[in-house]
Amino acid sequence: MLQVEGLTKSYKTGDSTLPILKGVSLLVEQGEFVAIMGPSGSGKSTFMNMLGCLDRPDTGSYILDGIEVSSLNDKQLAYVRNQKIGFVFQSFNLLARSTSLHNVELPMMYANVSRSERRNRATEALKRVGLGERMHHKPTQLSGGQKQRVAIARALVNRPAILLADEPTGNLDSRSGVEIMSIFQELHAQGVTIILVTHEMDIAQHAERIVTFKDGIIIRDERVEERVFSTPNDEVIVT
Amino acid sequence: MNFMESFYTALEGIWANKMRSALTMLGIIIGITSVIAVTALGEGGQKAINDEMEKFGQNTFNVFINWETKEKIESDDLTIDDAAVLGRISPAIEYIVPYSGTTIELKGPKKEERANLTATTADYFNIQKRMKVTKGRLFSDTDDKEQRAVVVLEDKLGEKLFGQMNPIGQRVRWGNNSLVVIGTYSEEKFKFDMGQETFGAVVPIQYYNSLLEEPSIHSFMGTAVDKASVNSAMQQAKQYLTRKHQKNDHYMVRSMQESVDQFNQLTGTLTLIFSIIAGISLVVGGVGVMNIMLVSVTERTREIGIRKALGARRSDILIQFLIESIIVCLIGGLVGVLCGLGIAALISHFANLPPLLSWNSVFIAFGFSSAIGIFFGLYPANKAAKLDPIEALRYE
Repeated sequence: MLQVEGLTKSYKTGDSTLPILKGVSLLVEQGEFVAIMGPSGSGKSTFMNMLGCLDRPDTGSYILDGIEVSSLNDKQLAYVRNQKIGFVFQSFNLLARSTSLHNVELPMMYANVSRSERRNRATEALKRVGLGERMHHKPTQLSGGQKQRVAIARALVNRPAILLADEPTGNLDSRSGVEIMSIFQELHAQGVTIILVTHEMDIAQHAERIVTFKDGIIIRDERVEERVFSTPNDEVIVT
Repeated sequence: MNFMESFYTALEGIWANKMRSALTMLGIIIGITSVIAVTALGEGGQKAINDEMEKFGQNTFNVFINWETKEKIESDDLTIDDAAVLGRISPAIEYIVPYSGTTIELKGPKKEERANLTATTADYFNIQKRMKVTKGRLFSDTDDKEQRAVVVLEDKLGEKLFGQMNPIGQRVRWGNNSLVVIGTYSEEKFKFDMGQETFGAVVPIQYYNSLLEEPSIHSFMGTAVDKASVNSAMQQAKQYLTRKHQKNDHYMVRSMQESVDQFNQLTGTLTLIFSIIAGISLVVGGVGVMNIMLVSVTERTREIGIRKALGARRSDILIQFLIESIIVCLIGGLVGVLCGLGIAALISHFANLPPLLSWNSVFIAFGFSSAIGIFFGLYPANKAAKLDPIEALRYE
């Protein structure tokens, strides 16, 4: 599904080059729910940008859904972002002037989906995240959790191969965070491939596999055997 | 993304910043308004004057002595007989008359008045279609041949000289001469002859010449049988006179049409110069559009990042911003055209010109405003399209 081999990336700062990723390899199977953890500066955000086709690696290969992405041009990358990847950002990144419905329609507009089908699919996606009643609200009229649900609907509406979530609960209160994570759980149960970047162990615990970055390499890659959740009431539940 | 979607997106962008869009448009509006007003007035004025000229003498021409002649200028270079012969033998000439003119003082019972005296033959009234007899009669060939001391006065001159009295049959004095008024005429004034306060008096040329020590005729005035014959009529007149008087390059002919063409060239140049000056304000408006588009791109960096993350290609972003600037310019252009035509109509109304809708300038204005939209929108739009999505998404 998603196969990364020996990915490197460095940035030029003045005269010196700063290596950010120093050879990262990762294989994610269809339907997996992977959390990526690591301290800031560990390279996880850069890695996320690579996975999201927002940036190109210096060397290495990245095969997404059977496509070698690292050699594509701008136009092809735009197509891959549109068709294969769904983004959920920490800061929601909704278009402020547009309604929920319009925000969810946006990826389909770039995919040249017809007006009526767009409307249907966006409506369906919003219902799926429980926002059927708030389709015509603008982001300013929504709570943080609701905004993030719009973003999730938007990420899923083109039926992408992977869902990339970058600190999706970072700007939410813990109650909304739990809500959002339960949606991710649901999606995982439905077979959506999810890659989640977080620095909170609690959140990472929702995944079935945790990959830990440090200094531009993966230092740990382990399956979550035992889940420890803390609820808003600080009760600890062990499953 | 297809064109209609880009169009709606661009409209949304404009609507979201109503005040700013309106102010941006204002620059274009002022530019287009001035261009349209100038060209509409220029073309309208030109057309009005041409219409006037056509109405009164599109077939007329004049014969003069060439100013740059190398031959000796003599008083009998143009004679009454020459005109008569030409009228008889030239198939292209309808009427041709000798013409002399001067300014004189005429004395009536009421007062003395300055008058533009025209000395000519009876056919003059067939050439000057603007003249209509109001009282009495015009002079005839017989009056002319007999050198009768008769005069036809412009009706306003008659009123000034005679007051309420009927001038027909009365006498007016011109120096030591006494002339009998046989008729009055009204003359439809050339529309753009403003403030002309000297009126006309027409006398037979044979009588006029009989008063002079060495009579000479200023020019001939003629009409061709139709518009197409004007040139051959002029050539025939020139050839005949050259042959008869044995003087090379001594005569000059000029048609009304040539004068009209010359006038048109002048006003055309003037209109162009004013249009260019007005066009400068259009360019300033365009720079305003570019400025605002650049602000808009910076302000919407994050939006651009989001769109790119969701699959917008460079071309999608480019087109979105380009359409936005074109729409601003086109709406500005439309309002500008309306304002320009309104101003032109208003000025026409007060200047007594016929209003004229110049489709040319409307199309040119629209062409110009979209060109300005593209030209000044391209740089900001390209800047937006080239934004790095990661940077753009991080932009606060």
